[in-house]
Amino acid sequence: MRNHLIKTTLASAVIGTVLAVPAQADVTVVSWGGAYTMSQQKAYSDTYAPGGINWVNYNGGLGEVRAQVESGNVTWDIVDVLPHEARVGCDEGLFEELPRDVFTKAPDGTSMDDDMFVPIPNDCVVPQIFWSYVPFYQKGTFDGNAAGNPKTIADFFDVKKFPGKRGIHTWANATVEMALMADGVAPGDVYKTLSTKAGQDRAFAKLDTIKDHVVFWSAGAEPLELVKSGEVAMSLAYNGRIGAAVLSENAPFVTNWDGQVLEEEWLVLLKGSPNRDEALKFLIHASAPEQQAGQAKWITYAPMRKSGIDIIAKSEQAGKPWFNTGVNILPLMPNAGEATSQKHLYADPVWWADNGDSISERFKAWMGQ
Amino acid sequence: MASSAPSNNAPLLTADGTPLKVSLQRSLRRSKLRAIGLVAPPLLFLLALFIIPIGDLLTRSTDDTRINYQLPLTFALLKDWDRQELPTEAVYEALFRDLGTVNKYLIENNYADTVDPTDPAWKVAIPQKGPYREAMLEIAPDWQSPKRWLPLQKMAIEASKATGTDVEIRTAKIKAEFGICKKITPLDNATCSNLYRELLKWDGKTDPDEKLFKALFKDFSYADKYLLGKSSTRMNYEKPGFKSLLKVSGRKLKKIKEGPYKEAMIKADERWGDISFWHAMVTMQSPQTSVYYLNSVDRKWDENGNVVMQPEERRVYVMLWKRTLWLSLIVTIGCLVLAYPVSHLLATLPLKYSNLLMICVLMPFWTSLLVRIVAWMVMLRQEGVVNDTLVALGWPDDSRLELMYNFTGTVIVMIQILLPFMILPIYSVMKTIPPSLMRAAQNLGAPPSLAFLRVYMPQTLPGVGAGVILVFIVAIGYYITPELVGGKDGQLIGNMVAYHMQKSLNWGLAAAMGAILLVAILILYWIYDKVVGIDNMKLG
Repeated sequence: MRNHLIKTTLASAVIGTVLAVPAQADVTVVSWGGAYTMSQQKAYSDTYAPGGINWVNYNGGLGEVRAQVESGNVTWDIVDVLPHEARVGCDEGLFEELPRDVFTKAPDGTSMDDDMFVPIPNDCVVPQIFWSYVPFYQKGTFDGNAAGNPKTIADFFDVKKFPGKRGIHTWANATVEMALMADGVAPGDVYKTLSTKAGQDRAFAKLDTIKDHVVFWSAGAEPLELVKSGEVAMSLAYNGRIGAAVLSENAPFVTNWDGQVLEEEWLVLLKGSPNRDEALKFLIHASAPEQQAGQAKWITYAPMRKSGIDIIAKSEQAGKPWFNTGVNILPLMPNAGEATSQKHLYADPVWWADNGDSISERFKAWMGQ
Repeated sequence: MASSAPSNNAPLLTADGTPLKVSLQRSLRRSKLRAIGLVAPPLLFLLALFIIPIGDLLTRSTDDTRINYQLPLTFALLKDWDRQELPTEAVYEALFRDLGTVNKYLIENNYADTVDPTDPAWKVAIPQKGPYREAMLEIAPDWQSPKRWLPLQKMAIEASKATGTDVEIRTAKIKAEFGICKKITPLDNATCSNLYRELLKWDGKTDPDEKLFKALFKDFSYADKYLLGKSSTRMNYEKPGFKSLLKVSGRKLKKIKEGPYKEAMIKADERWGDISFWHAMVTMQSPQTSVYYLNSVDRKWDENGNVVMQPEERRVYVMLWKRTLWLSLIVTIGCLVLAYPVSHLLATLPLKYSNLLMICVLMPFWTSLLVRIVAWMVMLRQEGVVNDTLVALGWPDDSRLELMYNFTGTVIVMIQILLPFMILPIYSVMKTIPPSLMRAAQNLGAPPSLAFLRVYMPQTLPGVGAGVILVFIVAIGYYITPELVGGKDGQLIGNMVAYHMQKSLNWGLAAAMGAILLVAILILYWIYDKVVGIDNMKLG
């Protein structure tokens, strides 16, 4: 008994000292989880020689970031943020302003900031991907339907011709723009219309037409589950999640590109992070054209850098499909291929910065009525 | 034991000769100290890690101090505005100075009622490219002496001496940079890195030179940029459009050199000529505001200072409050009805069976919350187990029950999750009720139902009370379950609090709702105390 006691005490002391040795400074990267984080890991951290990257999941929003920076205890280093947060956080001083000349240039010599599809909004952001909200359904749901399969964004809002429930996310982004586009507003006029009360009323009137058929989702993987199980007939989702399921698991999903709303996605470094230098090195690696293109091997999101898309295009034109399962991916990119020929809209972060709060409140009120 | 008073008036003595009274007091004090000593650690823990941080967050519910730091001069002059037409040139000049210059950080009386608009220091222009020292000393002469700078230098020197791992050294530097800025600006997260660098090079004795003042100016400018970012977020809640308006103005105003300012500002952005923006500014003047509490009940200030309801399409909170209370009530009653028989069984079955039953009660309790919710999703959804079984038994296929992603689903899932909170207190109390009492009642002629109502149930009331209050309070604050299975009519007030904490970053509104919830629960607790009595609450 006494011998046993001594042995256990010794063992726990040894384990204790081993665990107490502080690990080297890991860079903590915070992202959205699921297939998306997996693609980032494969493209960015698996190819990063120094290693030491620690991935954490979150559900969006700057609440945690603000709490950490304002209390001075910053444990997150890099965060994957949506366009609105990228601007708000930089304005409020939650993100580090990064020197722009340290980033990898494109093969033809253009600096990173000039190698972009959209202009860089501020000095805090590092480019990542484009993605879009798209409606999709499962093959076979509308077999035998008089009107056939849904094709346009107006079809998503038409429960008479295409019966069944609709999946929508619990926040207003993209939903109000799609409602207007389904009601006949041209993509170029959407934000002008939404800035007026009449325009907002019009968007919500269109949403009312599917009000009783809506199932709400809040996490990226949920809409796929809802459609697969038959709970809803059509749902809005992130295009990359659908693409990853289709290409990696042969899921029978069909994406409707008409009416897609494209959004930016950025990486930022938190102000006050003690691992700033290592994190910056990782950001330089992750934003290089090769890694940008590399992410598209695992999920159908588009690189923000033109040189990244060029790498993919060159490879597929030479007959070498880019996706990891050996499929051509350019046709499935939200800002290339088939998608660009259809009605689409780039979400306007400046409009959302101003009007996001009030229209989100109206959306929450609409949800409850 | 002697029951008669002592025959003489000498005080009673204990065995060792001390007076009884003194000895009694001493031993009472000792037991009191012991009691305090036992309670002190958890009490201090609760105070430091719970009451103080949450109290601090709740103060944000009335806190509007930040924009008073941003616009001190403007607010001082807006007090005299008649609100009928656009403000005068003087107000526009004040706005220009508040948004485009850093004078406010150097002036002593720079907040709310202390502001003196006639102070010439406000009008001193610091050249953007320097020289800085002369102009800054004109505004604030006390910055000339090293005394003003030494406390800041101390922070920098201490941080530069930090030892340890790389991470620890860098953390010390960052903390010092934050700390220096906290001392000279109202911001928590501005990094005064220029000052940190220059202060380390300074000897601490000679009068501060142009380099130090340049660093001071640069750090003030950075801090001002962030203050503007935060203020614009706050002002945007009041009137959509302020965010881009302030951002654009902040940039363009640096180029304006002199008046007339009204013209120049309206040229920079035409919204400065829109009176509705000025009306919105007037409602934000006071450093302590009740606007968040008003918003929590769907109200707001209009431009004349009256409390009005929000436009109908934006009213959501009153409905959510009602729904939350109603749902919590239903969940509590549902839990009570289901838990009472289970607890009775647990208390009266022989040990072999009651142990098994107890495991059945506790196992779900120990399973992860999300796993349970997802399991319910599989059970209750349209194509789920319950509906498929009903259809197999003959239920029409096109009218499947909607049991998930709505109010009903939320109620069902919450009842199952909160059931152990009800079962366990009631069970603990029932276990202490001797079964002989029921038998005695029936022996005296009462039918079983009367014996139950008059003898058994009143004794279980303390446990019922404990369970009810526990379940109700937990249910009111729930937001994960409604978020996942609530759909559109199962959203609760907790979801809005989470939304404002995480997504919209309107912490003032979230804090106001949290404070209202806290007060509501305290009131309920007080009512419960009056009706049932806290001393009557037993957990076992």
